[in-house]
Amino acid sequence: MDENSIVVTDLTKKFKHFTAVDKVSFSVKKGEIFGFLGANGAGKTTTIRMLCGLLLPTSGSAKIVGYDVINQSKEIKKHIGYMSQKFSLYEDLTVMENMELFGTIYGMEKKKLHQKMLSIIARLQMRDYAKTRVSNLPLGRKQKLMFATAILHDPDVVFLDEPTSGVDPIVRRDFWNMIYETAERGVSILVTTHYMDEAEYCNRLCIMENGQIKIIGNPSELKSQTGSENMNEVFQKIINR
Amino acid sequence: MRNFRAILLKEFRQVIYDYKTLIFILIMPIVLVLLFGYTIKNEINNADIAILDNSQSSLSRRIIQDFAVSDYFSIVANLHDAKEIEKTFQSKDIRMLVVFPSDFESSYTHGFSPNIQLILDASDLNVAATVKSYATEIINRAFANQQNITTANHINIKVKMQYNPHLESAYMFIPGNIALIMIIVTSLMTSITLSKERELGTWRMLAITPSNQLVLVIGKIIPYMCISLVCTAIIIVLGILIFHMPMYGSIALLVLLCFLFMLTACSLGILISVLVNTQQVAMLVCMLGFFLPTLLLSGFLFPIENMPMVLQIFSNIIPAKWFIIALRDIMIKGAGLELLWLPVTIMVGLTIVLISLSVWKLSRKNV
Repeated sequence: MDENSIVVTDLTKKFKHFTAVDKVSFSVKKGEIFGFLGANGAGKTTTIRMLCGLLLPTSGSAKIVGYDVINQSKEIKKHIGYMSQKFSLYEDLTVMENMELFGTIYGMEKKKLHQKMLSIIARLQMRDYAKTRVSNLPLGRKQKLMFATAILHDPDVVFLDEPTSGVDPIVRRDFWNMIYETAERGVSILVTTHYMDEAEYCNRLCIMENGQIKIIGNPSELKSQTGSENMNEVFQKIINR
Repeated sequence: MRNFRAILLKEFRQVIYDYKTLIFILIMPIVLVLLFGYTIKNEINNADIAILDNSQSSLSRRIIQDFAVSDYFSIVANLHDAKEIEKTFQSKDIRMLVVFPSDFESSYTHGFSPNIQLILDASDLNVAATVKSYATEIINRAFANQQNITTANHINIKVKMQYNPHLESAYMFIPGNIALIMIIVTSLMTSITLSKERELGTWRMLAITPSNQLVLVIGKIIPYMCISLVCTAIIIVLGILIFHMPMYGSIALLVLLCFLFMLTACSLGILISVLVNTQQVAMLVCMLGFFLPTLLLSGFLFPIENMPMVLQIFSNIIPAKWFIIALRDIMIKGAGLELLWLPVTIMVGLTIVLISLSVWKLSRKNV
């Protein structure tokens, strides 16, 4: 396996007459945090869904840890984690029950799963909440739990679709610390976001508009290329070009 | 297999945590059976009847006496002329008219079989059927008590169903209730639980895992299958113990049949959840699309023979119709598989069609 966890070449998705994703190419290295910026409807979520094997591309190709999204989606699913913009754990189950469910579905061995769950709960400082129903958790804790569940089975690649929408700055800071810790273990992270300050946290990022990647590079590269002070300015210049 | 168990455990947990709904579901069959059972049963106590005694004989008077002392009937009118019949039905709202012909006693004493005519208001089928069977019982008993009875002297009871010549069995409501409960518990709960996952986005979390989606669906609906089998058992036990529903057929066959109908109901629920995106719509479609037809077109409340041709043809694709027919045949007639092949084949066929539609639709749907 080469160093790139994600290799995307000319990936395209058309819905009838509408092209949601238009010849997108990029690659993400092992342990890299790659950001996806763009307005709503720019094609970020569609791209992620194709990479997760939930949606078949119209043309182009993509490989996740060496597996092809078109005909090896089953293999891919074993190696990826996913967190959607919408909270989607089971609200009526407890913290432990949710993790147990997803861990078991991913085929984790019972003993290993249990150890993993305990260490996550310790990391999240949620010992008092282990047997609490998820619906009773504050939003920040819910988001963190969801991320922890997405990486429970030690995936090689994690897709985060607007993971921090609607949470306060302190939780967001904390959340990004978790992302860094995960990336340090060699996990590649692809994250979409609306927040320009978050874009600064990424190792590399791209800006999408109308299904196309307009610019790609690390934050300082983008700033110098566009002659901008901060990411917000970069974004405005790219979109209004 | 472990992910199947995991999803099963999760679904059972969710059902138990939501114990209020569970209790409601388990009480529902009891309420339904008692409601249908007693609304039908109560009317038979002290049913209003009228007598037209053309023979004015001691034998006819003895039978009239038997009717008068019975708890089932109360005689509200004595007619003297056949012309009064229609008027009495209209004004006195009687359930039945007993007519003795003028040669009633003489034909009996001469060794012939005497005639009695029962004219019934069959606008309510179930009442008419029960009234008829009770009246027949009283008349037969009166004759059996006659000492000089001979084999030749059988009584001929001529029954005329006024207003509604076709008569369906009074035991319609137990099979009908089972069909209703199955539709509510299995179809409704299946479609709600599946569309709920889609609505909340949790299904996408499951779809992203390496598990097979079909395995997940099956794991999810098994708890509801269990609940609906429990409900069915409740109805059957209540039907036999309280309403004296006969049970002549094989219990194993009965269980198999209920299982088959449950699969049909499940596949309806799955199809709905595939077609719609929210719980509310799923619920509406189940109520209007499944619940009402099951209630109205399955032959449960209204005889299919009396429906317009279009509805009669349409009723053939209502699974509950075939289930009710098969269930009645097993319980009342003690039928075996050789008599049940038609309803069973149709139910199996409908299930296969529904499942194939769902799978086809699911394969084209974006998660």
